[in-house]
Amino acid sequence: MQFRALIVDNAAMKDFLNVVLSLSKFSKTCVLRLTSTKIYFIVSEEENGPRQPLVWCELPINYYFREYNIVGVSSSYNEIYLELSTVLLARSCTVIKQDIISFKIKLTHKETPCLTLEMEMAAGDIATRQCVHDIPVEVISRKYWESYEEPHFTDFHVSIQMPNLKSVRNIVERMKSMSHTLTVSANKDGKLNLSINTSTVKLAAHFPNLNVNSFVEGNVTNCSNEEIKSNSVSSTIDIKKFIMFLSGMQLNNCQAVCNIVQGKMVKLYMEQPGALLLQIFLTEMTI
Amino acid sequence: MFSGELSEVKMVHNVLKSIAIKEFAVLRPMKEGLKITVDEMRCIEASAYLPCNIFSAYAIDNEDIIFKVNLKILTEILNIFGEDDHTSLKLSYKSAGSPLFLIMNHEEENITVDCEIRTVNIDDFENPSLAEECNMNKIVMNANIFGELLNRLDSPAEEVQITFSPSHPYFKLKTTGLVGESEVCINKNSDSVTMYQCNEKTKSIYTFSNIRHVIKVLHHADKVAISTGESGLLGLQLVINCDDNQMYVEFYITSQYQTD
Repeated sequence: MQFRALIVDNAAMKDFLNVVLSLSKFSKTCVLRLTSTKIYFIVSEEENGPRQPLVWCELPINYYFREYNIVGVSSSYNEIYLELSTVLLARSCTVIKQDIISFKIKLTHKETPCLTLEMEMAAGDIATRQCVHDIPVEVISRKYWESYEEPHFTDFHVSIQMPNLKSVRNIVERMKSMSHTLTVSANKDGKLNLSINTSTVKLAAHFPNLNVNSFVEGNVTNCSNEEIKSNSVSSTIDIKKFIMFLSGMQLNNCQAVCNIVQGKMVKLYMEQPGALLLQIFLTEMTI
Repeated sequence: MFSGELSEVKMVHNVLKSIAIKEFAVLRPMKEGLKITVDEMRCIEASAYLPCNIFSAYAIDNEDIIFKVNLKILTEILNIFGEDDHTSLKLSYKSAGSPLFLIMNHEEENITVDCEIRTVNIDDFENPSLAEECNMNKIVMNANIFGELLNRLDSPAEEVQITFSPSHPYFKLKTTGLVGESEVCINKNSDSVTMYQCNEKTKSIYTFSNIRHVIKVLHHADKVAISTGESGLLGLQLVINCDDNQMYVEFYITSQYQTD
């Protein structure tokens, strides 16, 4: 197994940092999957049993890396799966905020397997410096790979375009100070509603005229009469997780889609074409 | 029973945020305008007064509407669109015990937010005329100058003494804290003082943290009137310009004890 990659583009470094920072807010650990065309960050639920994915993030190699070499576990499985601490990764990557000329990521074997980050600082008043961080990783053996496959859900009751993410973020930030849960609902006329309901306040934000990619008619079970009447699908989720990615990243010009399974789950799909694909799976909160 | 429409939401949000010393506020829609009052243990009372002319529409059909709402939530909702200032607000209150309805519109983005805040009825609301109690000495000055005076005092000090005197040094603020004393005065002939009236010397001590609540409002205010009376009650009235109209904020703070 060998892995070595180099980022020199400043914008790519900033994007990489943003991804890592957001991940670290979401979960303490993540799985980094390295393939010859893309790298993936995967966050799963920390409980035992069948792993539920929470975050699935794809970064294409050619956008981020100037040089990229990988030799996987075998020629037929040319991939590497590593488990590592998002917190350590985020802490090390914040060096990028300074003036960095190059950012190298390598898989090394020090006392334990490590992901080694080498950052070359721009020469200021003093000579050029190099900063090296080793992050211990655990190599995931081939037989567990299937736990980290891309989740495919096809049975969403509605799939609707998201409105301007900056407005969504502002509104949900305020809602977060009043409630722990957020109800996301959408109808087939292209209206997305974000609402909270507590003992002191009921608050709903309505975003009309959005494109509906798909809407399953009549298949919705266990919903209230009101929902049947308005023909809408809803799910109540953790408000903090909903905005974690919206607040951390500069996602303003990306395409975002919200998918809902009635009473079960919300999936946010965000794509910045060529640079980033992010899927966040938020399951229904049971109070 | 009461409804109102506003287009200048941001300033109202700023004003309400700056008087939010307690979680709950009393709302009193009156013919002349809407008054929002917060008080803490009867030691400090803060009110914001929005005259009906700052509303683009204002209707009321009963004189004695009074209810309590969670002010923290109300201010959060007024700020729901963040820094964007293309917001309009409709307020309504249907009947005693019903929630306060708010509808906010972001015109550019075509987003509507509707909201119901639970209200609490109030049975015993005492409304003594505090203004009449502060009828002895009075100074009116520029709000930023008063802010400057407060900032120059030793901020960790617990108490501040306010003196009005008919002769030099006129209006004086003095703190005594662990590190020593600090003192600021302003002469009645200063350019920043528009009015000074003092017949009899008064000297009272107030909890400094109570006075410091005013600082947040001073940032938005134009003029401040500080007055006091025989009981030592301190009144602060602030005028806030908002487009061509004015909003008002007043604070009443009780003195700790009367000195000789």
